[in-house]
Amino acid sequence: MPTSPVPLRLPKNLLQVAELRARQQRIDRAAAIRQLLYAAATDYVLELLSEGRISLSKAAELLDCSALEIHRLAQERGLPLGSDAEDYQQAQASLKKLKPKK
Amino acid sequence: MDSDALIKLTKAGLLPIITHAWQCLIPDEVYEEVVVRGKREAHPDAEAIERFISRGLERGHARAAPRRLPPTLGPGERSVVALFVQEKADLILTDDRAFLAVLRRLELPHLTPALALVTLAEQGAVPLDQARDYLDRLKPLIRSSAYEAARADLQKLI
Repeated sequence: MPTSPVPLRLPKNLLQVAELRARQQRIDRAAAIRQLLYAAATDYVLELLSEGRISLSKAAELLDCSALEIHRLAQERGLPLGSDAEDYQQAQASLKKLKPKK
Repeated sequence: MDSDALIKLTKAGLLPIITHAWQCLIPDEVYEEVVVRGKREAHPDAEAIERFISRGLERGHARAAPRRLPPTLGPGERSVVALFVQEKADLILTDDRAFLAVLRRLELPHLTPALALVTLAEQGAVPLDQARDYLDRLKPLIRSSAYEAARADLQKLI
């Protein structure tokens, strides 16, 4: 995945968190900030998916992973995915239009 | 069908039944985001789906997707719509809420995995007791209200 530089001012407390992670993971501070950002982005994208505001394929595209991985991440967090009873009934209505009339 | 339906049908063990009863098509983009990337990430279901290609599940190359599709959809769903139009297919199979909302707005015929199972039971392609077992396997993958709606419909078939 290509990267771009972004000029960004961060509050000191968040920088301290990043430094803590950097020390624990033995990585540099920029890598720690990227990891924390990615973790937050994952949660946000999964939330949008669960609310039906973006699709599975869009979520996979945004997080640069497979659709199977998105399913696994949602399951891990206990987030429900998929249609509800109203969607089911609307699909039934859509199907009835297709069925040949007797 | 899209990636969401493909994954759920595979996990519930329903893919062989659906592909035996109906001619099922997936676009290259769905194959890429489930099978190719899934195998790269070592997901066992990716291998299982790959085995179904050419054994009932067909791949298709979709030309450009219609422009009026919203940015809430990814390349998978966009190519499903394109392939649906191109191949003059009967239905789109998906359980993705964002995609379902778009299909309703565009008035494109669609069904969900739970409804597909009920339809197969109605058609006699799946015996009722087996349909109930499959629905139970789908249960952890779908919302409880959709499960209850499908269960009630299966109950009506007795």
